[in-house]
Amino acid sequence: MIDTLSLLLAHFLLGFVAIRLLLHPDLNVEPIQSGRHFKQVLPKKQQPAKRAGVETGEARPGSTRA
Amino acid sequence: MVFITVVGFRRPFLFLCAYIYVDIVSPQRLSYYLLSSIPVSLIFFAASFIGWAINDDKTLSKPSPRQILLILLLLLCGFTTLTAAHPDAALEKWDWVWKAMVFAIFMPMALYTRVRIEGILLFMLLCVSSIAVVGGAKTLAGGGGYGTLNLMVANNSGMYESSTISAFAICSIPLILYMSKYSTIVPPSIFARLYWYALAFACLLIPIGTQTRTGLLCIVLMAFLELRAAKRRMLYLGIMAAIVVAGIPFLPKSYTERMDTINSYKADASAATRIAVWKWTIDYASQNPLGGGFNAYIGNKLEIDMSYKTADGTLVKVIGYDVGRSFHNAYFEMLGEQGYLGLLLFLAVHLIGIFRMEVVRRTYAKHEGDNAWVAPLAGALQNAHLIYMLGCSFVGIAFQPFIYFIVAVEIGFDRYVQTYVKKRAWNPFRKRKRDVEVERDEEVEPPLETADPAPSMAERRRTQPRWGTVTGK
Repeated sequence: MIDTLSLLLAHFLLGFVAIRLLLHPDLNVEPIQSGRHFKQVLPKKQQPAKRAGVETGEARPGSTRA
Repeated sequence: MVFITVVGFRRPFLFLCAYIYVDIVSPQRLSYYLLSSIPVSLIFFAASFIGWAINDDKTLSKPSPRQILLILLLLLCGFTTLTAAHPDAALEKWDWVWKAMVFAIFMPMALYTRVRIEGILLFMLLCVSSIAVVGGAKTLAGGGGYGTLNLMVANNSGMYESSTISAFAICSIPLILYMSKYSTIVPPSIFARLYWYALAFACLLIPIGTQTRTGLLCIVLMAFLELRAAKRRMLYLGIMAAIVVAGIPFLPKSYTERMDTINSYKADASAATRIAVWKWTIDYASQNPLGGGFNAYIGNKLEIDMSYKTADGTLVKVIGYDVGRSFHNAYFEMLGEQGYLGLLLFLAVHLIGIFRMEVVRRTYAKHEGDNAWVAPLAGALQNAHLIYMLGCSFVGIAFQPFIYFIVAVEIGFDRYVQTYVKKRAWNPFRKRKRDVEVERDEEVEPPLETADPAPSMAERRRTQPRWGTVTGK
């Protein structure tokens, strides 16, 4: 009686662990746990076009021509 | 077993687990004729190797120094078997020893993820549980005695031998306690913890049921080692003292009488015989430095000194004679069977394992979060190994597969830590990636400036639109 029940319990648990292993996603490949968290990268915000000379203060090409 | 065989084709790693099950539980010894006539162990051994060769990642399968030592030990065992003093007896033992050793050499190559390491340990513990729970329940029910506790199998050999199962049951307790806290396959819940603690209790009952002195010594060592790992040491000491005080009255008289013989070992026939065998082994090894092959003890002829002093101080001289007594000690077993070189390799394999686990334990002792499990597992494996090293001083279990599974797990775990965890360990001399990049940029930038001078006005005029924007769009 004790023998049978203990064997049944052990085999039930062995089966349970076997199923858990069978279904485990990380059994064959170790998941990469770098510990770093990356912020989401979004498309860069488009800057409005600036006109040379008027908004930037840069001399227009040819402005120094006599 | 049939179930594991079927699912093994989907996940070949399960063949490894099945081999461990076959090796520890020995279903062919429990079952009737059909299974006992099939070489189950060899089939799973081959299946696990083929499964690994076909399916698994082999990038981390470089042999470690301990695997090389195991290969050397295997070769030495093969050589001593060929030159054995008793060839038939040596071949009989070689039949199962080579499998255990080849598997120990192979297994670390398959243990490259945390889940695999845990899975193997879980299988080992549950297989031990199939014997320990029976023994524990029968001990509680009142059955037991040295060599008489019925552990399902009639013959007192292999893992089912009283002293062997006592040593390995206690050896499993640190691993059981680890599983109760850190397992990811069976997450710690109230039921899981209840089962693990009940199993640990059943393992503690095994040495009481089998009435082995080896087991008692292993329990004492285990209690001492767990004290090192305990966070609240005074509480732990209090609980231990309470268990001892409350438990002793419930121990059977035959058990306490047998344990008393630890003090009066000179008068005890079993202990005196062991000392005589050990003396014989030292003499034998000095004459045969390369050992006498497996089961070399068959050739011993012993003169056993069992003299003792009576209460009034009279010395009673008793001399016994015996023939073909086994070593009863793994160290002397190695010395007698494999010679000095074998003993050296055996000690190297085990002591390096214990040392490496101590290094890992200390390095990651204060780690928390994802790596919190590393130091406790290293500690549990080390404790199990140390308990074995004490237990094997009284039983000839140098080649028992269970300890080679633990050695293999240690090698696999050590490699896992070096590969996946070490990167994150604190290292004051480590150069961070971003620092390296900054240094590289600093080195690269000056030539860029000289190579690409600011364009002249004429060039700009040619390449850029006359009335454009700053960005060129």
